[in-house]
Amino acid sequence: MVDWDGMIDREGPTVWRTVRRLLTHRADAEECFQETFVAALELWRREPVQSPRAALQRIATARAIDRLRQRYRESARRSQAPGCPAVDSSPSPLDRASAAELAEALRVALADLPPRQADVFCLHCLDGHSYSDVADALGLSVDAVGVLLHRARARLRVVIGGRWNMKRVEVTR
Amino acid sequence: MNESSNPPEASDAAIDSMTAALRDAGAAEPLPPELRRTTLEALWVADAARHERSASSRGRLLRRTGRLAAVLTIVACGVGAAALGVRSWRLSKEHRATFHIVRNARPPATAPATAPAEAEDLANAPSEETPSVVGRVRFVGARPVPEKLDLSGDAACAAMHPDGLFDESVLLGDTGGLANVVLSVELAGGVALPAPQPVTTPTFAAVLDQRRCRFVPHVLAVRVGDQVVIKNSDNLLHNVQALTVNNPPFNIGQPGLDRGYRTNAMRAAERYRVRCSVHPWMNAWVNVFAHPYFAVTNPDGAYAIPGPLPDGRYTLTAWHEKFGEKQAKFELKDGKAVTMDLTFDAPTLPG
Repeated sequence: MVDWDGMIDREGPTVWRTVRRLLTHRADAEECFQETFVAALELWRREPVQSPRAALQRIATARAIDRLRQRYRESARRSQAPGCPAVDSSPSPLDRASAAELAEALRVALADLPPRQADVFCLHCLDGHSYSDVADALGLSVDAVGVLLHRARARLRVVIGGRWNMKRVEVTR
Repeated sequence: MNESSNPPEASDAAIDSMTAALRDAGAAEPLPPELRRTTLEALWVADAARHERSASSRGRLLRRTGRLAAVLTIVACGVGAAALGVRSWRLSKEHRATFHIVRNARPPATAPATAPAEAEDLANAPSEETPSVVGRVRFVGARPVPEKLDLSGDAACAAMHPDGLFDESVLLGDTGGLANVVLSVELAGGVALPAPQPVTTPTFAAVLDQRRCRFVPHVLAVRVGDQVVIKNSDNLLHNVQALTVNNPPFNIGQPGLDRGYRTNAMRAAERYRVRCSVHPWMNAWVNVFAHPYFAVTNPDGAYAIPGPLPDGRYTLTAWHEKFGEKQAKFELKDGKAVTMDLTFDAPTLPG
């Protein structure tokens, strides 16, 4: 029998940090947190879990990215500037943007990544897991993790660069 | 317009800055306690829903198996009848256990005497009718003021106690009797306790109820081989967690009324705490003994340890969760019960 009470005590803060950094809306983060543990309950029933923390972070990351994507798609439908981050619209946004704006820009870009790439990027770059930990958590080879991470970064460069350029064009006009 | 012909790309440094900013985002925000509680609730609801689904799928399977289902029904009826019989038998045992505590309230006016030869024969069958040690535990000194518990974490519990709920670790009767003291007899002077009957199957189930957001009883004493039945008489979520070391652990969520979850049989002598992880003020103690010579004081502080015990010298140990342990030596002669009154006083309070 899994001690879920103890599990939430031990891993809850880590899972909460994972979902909170990806989801700015607190209600979204709370729902995502609960969904993570309910999904974990099913996972634990199906198979033995070697590393609870990595498994919980994987579930939390995937759920948070899904929710992030859903939210930005909704905002894109409603807004003229679809899914635009709250990035400063001046010609050199990085110079003056606050940390919160930078974080928001990356959230938006992550929502544009294919799910696997987003998972790998979050687990390695945000949660600090090694290549081999990420490979174990996602059932991939270490080489595949490296490839996915490389592609994720390449795509982020294009997505983020494109957004800035678009904003610059709008400002120039 | 200053667009270049190639698709514009952000630099690695920019990506790294954003990653660092996102990594730090939300790092300082602690897990909300309310979210912890609601997540536990969601887990138990999901668990209950799964059990319901599996139960209904079992039902469908039974309906489709025609003749086999009929046979199974007959078998189930037989099992049900047997279960009812066992349950009523256990209830009667449970009743007797409750009655045992009540009877402990009034030690017999004259201590019954048992012939030594009979004591030999009854060594494996301790009886409440022939107590070996009776007495009363009292508290002397200034009466401690019970602490009012903070029930603000659960509005339903707070509503059950409009005048407040008080800490139950020190319960004093009108005449100073101290409740919830656990007394047990141990060896002294090389006299061995009668060997208890080997316990092969659980024979007794002690009930630990959750009633009005508190554990009833607050202190429970059982024997190795006994089971503990965890009940929930409140129509709200409790989660019972046993902090055992040598005995089977249990950690049970009970989302609503529950007539009883039966734990595994106790395996070793141990004292452990039981808590409700949803309501931090809910605590109880379970004392497991390898022999049957123990008792818990009633609200008047009275107790009666069952007998008979063979003549000899013994040590009586009294334990209270706040006041700690006290020991007293006594001698049994001619199979007669002894009266041992004990006192705890304020200076023994830790700190």
